Amino acid sequence: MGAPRNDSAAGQAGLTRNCDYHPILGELFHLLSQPLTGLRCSLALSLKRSRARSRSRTEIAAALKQVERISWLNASIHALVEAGEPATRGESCALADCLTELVDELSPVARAKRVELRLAANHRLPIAIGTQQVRSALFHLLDFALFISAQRTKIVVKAEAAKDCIFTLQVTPAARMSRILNPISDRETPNARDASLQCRVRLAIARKILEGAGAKFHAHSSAGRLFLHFHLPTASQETAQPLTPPLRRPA
Amino acid sequence: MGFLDACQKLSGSRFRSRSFFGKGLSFCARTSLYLSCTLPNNQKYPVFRGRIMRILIAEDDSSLASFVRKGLEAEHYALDVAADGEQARVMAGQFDYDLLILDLNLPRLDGVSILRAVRTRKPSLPILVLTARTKVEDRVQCLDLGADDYLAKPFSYSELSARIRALLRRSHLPAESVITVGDLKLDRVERRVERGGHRIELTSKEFALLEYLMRNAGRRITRAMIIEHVWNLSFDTCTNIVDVYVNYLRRKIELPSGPRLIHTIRGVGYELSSHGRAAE
Repeated sequence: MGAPRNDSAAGQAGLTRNCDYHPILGELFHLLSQPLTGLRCSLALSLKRSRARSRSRTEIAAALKQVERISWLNASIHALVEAGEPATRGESCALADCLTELVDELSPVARAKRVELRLAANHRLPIAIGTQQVRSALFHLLDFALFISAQRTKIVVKAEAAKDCIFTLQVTPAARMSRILNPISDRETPNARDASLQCRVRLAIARKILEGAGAKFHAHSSAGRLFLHFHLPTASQETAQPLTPPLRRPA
Repeated sequence: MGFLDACQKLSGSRFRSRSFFGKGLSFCARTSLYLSCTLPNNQKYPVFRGRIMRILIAEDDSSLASFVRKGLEAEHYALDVAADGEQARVMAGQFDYDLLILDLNLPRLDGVSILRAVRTRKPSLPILVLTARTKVEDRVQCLDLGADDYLAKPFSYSELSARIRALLRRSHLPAESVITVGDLKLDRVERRVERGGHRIELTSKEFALLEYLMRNAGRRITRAMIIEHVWNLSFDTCTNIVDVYVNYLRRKIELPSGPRLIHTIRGVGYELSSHGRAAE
C-alpha cells in the first residue's frame, strides 16, 4: 500500500478535514477521557478493596471525588464544544409541536417545584432548525428555567410569529439565583458555584446550538424577571419535517 | 531462597524458614486453597446455563482495559481483551461471547466497521459501545448499526457494571409483550398497566419509565441510564426530573400501606423489585 500523496486533491481534502477545529477537539477530548476513565475505574476498585475505616480508604475516596469533578468539568467543556459544531443545513421542524411535547414532559417537575409552566405558542410555521437540535436546545433552556425559578412563580414560554419566529422565555429567578448570569463570586461556596456553573453551561449550550443554526439571542431583566429572546429563522412549510418520536432502544 | 521468594510472590502464599544448628532447615508454608464448589443459591454470580458469562473487551488503552478487566473479574465474569480492531473482529466472530464491550476508536479497524461485521454474523450478541463522543447523532448512528447500549467516556466503573448487568439480563430474556413483576403487569403492545387486577393510568413518559425499570427488575439502574433510555438525553439535568417521575410512578403503582416496589439506592439510582430490601 503506497503512502497517500499530499499534492493530490484527495490528499488536500483529507488534510483539510484532518486539521478541522472540531474533529481535532473531539480527538483531544477522547485522549483526555481515556486516562480519566482509567483513573476513575482504578480508584473505584481500590476503594472497593480497601479495608473499612482505614486511612488509605479516606484518601482514595477523596482522590475519587476529585477525579469525578475533573470528569464533570471535562464533560461540560466537551458538551459546549459539541454544541458549537456547525449545524446541518436544510432541516426544519414544527416549533409549536416540539414545545407542547416538552412542556408536557416537564410539567411534573414544575408542579413538584410549585412553578407554573405556561405555554403560549401562536407560531405555527416551521423553523429552519432540525428537530433533534431544537429538542435538545429547548430541553436545556426549560431545565435551566426550572432550576433558577423561585417557588410559586410562573415560567412563560412564548413562540410568536413576526418576520422570523420570536421565542421568549420569561422566568422569575429565586433570590439566591438572581446573580446567576453574573461572573462567579469568590464568596459563594464551592457547591453553589458548581450548581451555578452547571446551570450557565446549560444555557450556553442551548444558545450555541440555536445560534449555530442561525438564531439571534438577547437577554434582559426587569422587575425581578429574566427574559431570554431567540429570533429563530423560519422555513418554508413544504420543507418542514414531522416531529419524530423520541428515540427508543430496541427491547 | 530466591525460588521460594518467587513462589511467594506468584501464589500469594507465605513461607517461613528456620534453621536449627546441626539439624538443618525447616520450612513452613501457608497458602490459600482455591476450591471449585457449588455456590449457595442466594449469591448472584453471573452464570447462564451453568457457565460463567464471557465478555470480550475491545479497547486499545491497555491500562484502561486492565482496570475494567480487574473489576469485572472481581465480579466473576470471564474476560478476554482485544487490543486492536482486527483482533476484536476475529475474536468476536470465532468465539462465543455473552457480551462485547467495544471502543469506537481502535487501531487497524474502527469500531463502526466491527459493529457492522459482528452484527451481521451474530445478531443476538449484546454490544455495549464506549466512546468519547456524546452527541445524539453519534448515539443514533451506533444504535442504528446494532449497538444495544452506549456509554460515554469518562465513565464510572459502577455505571459500566450496572449497564453490563442490565444488558446481560435483557439478552437472556425472551422479548415478551407482557412483563410481570409480582402482581404488577405491563402490556407493551396494548400499553396497559395493571396491579392486582386494577388498571393504572400512566402518561407516556411514566409508561416508558416503568417499562424500563420492569425490564431491568432486580437490577440497580442509575439516574444517567434512566435519562438516556427514557428521555434520550446524553447529559445531566439541572433539575430532578428522574426523581419527580419516579415519585409520580410510586404514587400510582404502590399501595400506601403495602411494600415498596421501586427502591431508592442512595447515590446510585433505583431498583424495581417485588421483594422488600433494606434501605441503602
